Amino acid sequence: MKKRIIAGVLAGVCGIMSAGCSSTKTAEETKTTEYGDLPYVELTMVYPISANTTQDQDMVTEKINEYLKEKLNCTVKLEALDTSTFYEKFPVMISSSEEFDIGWVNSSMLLQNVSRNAFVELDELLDKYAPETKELLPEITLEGVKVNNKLYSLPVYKEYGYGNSYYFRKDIVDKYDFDLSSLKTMRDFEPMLETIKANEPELTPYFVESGAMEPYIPAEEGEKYYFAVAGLPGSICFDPETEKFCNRVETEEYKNKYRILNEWNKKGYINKDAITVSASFDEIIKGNRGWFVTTSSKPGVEDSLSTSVGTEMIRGYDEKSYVMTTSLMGSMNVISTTSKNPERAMMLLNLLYTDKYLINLFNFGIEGTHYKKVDENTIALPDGVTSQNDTGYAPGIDWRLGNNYNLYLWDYEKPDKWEQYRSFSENSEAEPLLGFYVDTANIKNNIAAINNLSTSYDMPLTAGVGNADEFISEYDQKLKEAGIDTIIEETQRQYDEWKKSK
Amino acid sequence: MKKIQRVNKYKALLVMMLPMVIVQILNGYLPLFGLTIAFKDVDYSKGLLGSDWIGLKNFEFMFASSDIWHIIANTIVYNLIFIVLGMAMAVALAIMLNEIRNRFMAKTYQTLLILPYFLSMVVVSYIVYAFLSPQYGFIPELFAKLGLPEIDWYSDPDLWRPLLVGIKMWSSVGYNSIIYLATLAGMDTSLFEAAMIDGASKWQQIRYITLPMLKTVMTVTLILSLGGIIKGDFGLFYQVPMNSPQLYPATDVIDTYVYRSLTQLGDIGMSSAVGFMQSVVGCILVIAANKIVKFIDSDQAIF
Repeated sequence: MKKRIIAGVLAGVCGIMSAGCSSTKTAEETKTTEYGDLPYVELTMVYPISANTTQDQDMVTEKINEYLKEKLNCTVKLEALDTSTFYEKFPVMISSSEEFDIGWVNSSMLLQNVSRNAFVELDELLDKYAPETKELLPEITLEGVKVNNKLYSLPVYKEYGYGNSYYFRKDIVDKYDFDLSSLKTMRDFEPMLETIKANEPELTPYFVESGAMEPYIPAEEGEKYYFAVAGLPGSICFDPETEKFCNRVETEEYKNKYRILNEWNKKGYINKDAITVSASFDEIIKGNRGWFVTTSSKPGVEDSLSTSVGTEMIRGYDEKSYVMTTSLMGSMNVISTTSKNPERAMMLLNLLYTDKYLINLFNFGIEGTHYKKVDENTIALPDGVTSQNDTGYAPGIDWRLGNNYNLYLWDYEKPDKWEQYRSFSENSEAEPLLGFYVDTANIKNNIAAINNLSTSYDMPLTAGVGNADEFISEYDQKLKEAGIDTIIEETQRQYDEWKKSK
Repeated sequence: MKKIQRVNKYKALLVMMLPMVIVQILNGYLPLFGLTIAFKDVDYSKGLLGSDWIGLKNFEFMFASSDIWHIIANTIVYNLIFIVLGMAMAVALAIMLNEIRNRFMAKTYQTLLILPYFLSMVVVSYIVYAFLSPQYGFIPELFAKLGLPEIDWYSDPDLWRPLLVGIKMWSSVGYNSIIYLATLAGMDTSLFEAAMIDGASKWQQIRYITLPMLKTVMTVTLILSLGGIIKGDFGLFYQVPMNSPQLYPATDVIDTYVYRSLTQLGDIGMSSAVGFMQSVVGCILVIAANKIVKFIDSDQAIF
């Protein structure tokens, strides 16, 4: 018995040792590529994907690796995390100094972690290993994502304005003959909601779920527009007329909005389980729960949305789009300081911006399996499949990696989508805070406290439960106690300095 | 020389102890270096040991909000209820199970009662949701059928205080009763026989024989559980109420509060500070409780 156990242990140890040997052996293989002689490395990429739609990830990864082996003598390990887990897991990966090479970040993730030196400074790497990408990216986007005048991230090359739009089910709009062009304020919504409530018992007139954002449409026409500040909680905003930062909860515009939602809830327009239910656009529309959704107003959204939810959607009320720090920083790729091969990571990033085959592989999967080609730049769903989600590979990462303008277009999309993207970007006005960001080192405590309050109050307010006025004044009171004025003061000071230096 | 002899004598025992000692060093003592993070301004490029010391600054955020005292009170009160009620119910359950003479039935009850302990709180949260969901829940539908007034379970914090205690008891009582049941099983039955001959009723037997015999185990459990008194059961308080903001007055404990404050900020120093504080308070409480027990009855103390 004893002998057998020892033998087992020895066998195990041998196994581990030999595995160790074999992996070091492949690591030494060097290959001549167009970037010179490169030793073999494995890179890890971390990015979020939409849930449950990438059963064929391994198949696609294999194809990607085949290609990268050829091009850069590397393979990638893709940590493609479900969106909901990504935002929890990735910050933990960063703070525990876990090793990875390329990661996806948004503005708050970038700003928080740059101050802790989690990401590699890219200026030099970009010049050296990705000159094509530097050439490609518009000046304004590269400048806009800089922190302290240093580049830590590469913005995804896509549209760079930001605004929202409502997308309605066309059959419903037609059935009741709603005039979407007259939609200017929240009040204009009311007759529609009333009609739906009276005639469509299945549908919730104003569907709210736990991740819903507040209505972007003004409560009344001609209301003042306040800007959000990159890296700060949403309760702090910027008034472009006076150039002062203020407590958003105290503005009349904010109060009006939530009073109306409160009213809507009392009238029974909002679903009862608003606070606890979470639902994707698919689930809202396919599940017959709501009849419109809110998302970005960039061109072409209605087309992709229509196919993913399986019924035609049309847009109504485009918000004025702005080029903002937060929108420029909306989707970026960084190289981690824990990376052993930042140079190779930069080469891979460069490929994602310049190599048409690779970026399409990442986005759409394998030709013939996940899509079929219609012509040079147009693709269609494989025969017998009605939604991209059913193809086995629909990561929904088109706006999260590389270069949008190199992507194929679906046959249902408008052929001039990319031209529309360009004009959408050019028509977006630069926000007054563009390029300004707050150093939060001295106000971290207050931000933590206010983040906590936001989670307590934003959702009930958006769902319109209780008494809005009471809620708002309580929220305001708590914000003051948590030190919102300290944050405003500090931000104002930094802004004034920044303004002077400009 | 003597020492070597003694080592030699207990050789076998020492070897048996070795794996646990190693595990304890790896899991319990090495990570203690991490405690320093609570006092540092973490900079990934300098590494954990090289980051700058910043004193108590990481602790400040907890007290930036006026809610914190309410949250600390919540944590402590819930845990006190869990400890006291949990112990009372576990002991009662153990005695009842011990009285069941049919072995098959006793085992069946025991298994059924322990089962909830192995359910993840996420699963429990959806079981509860199936009952209470305002749109499709079992209880709201039942209330509607019976013509009872409508209750919105996920927005009334007062309902959740007893509910959370109930859920916690349901999930942990069976498991906690095992240790008492084991003690009871090891008891000398002749004591009961003697009592019965003297005409003691069942109740008297429990009061004067069973409970005193369980006292030692109860004291040990009590002292140990005091160590966790300012740690909230995250699954219970975060998952089960579906993180509904309107329930925060009843469901917010230190762990959920810290989670919400820091997930967006991602500050490892600040979160370590909380862990540090919880451990220190827990440690002090355990030592203090043990001192008090020692003062009252030195045989019952654990160290």
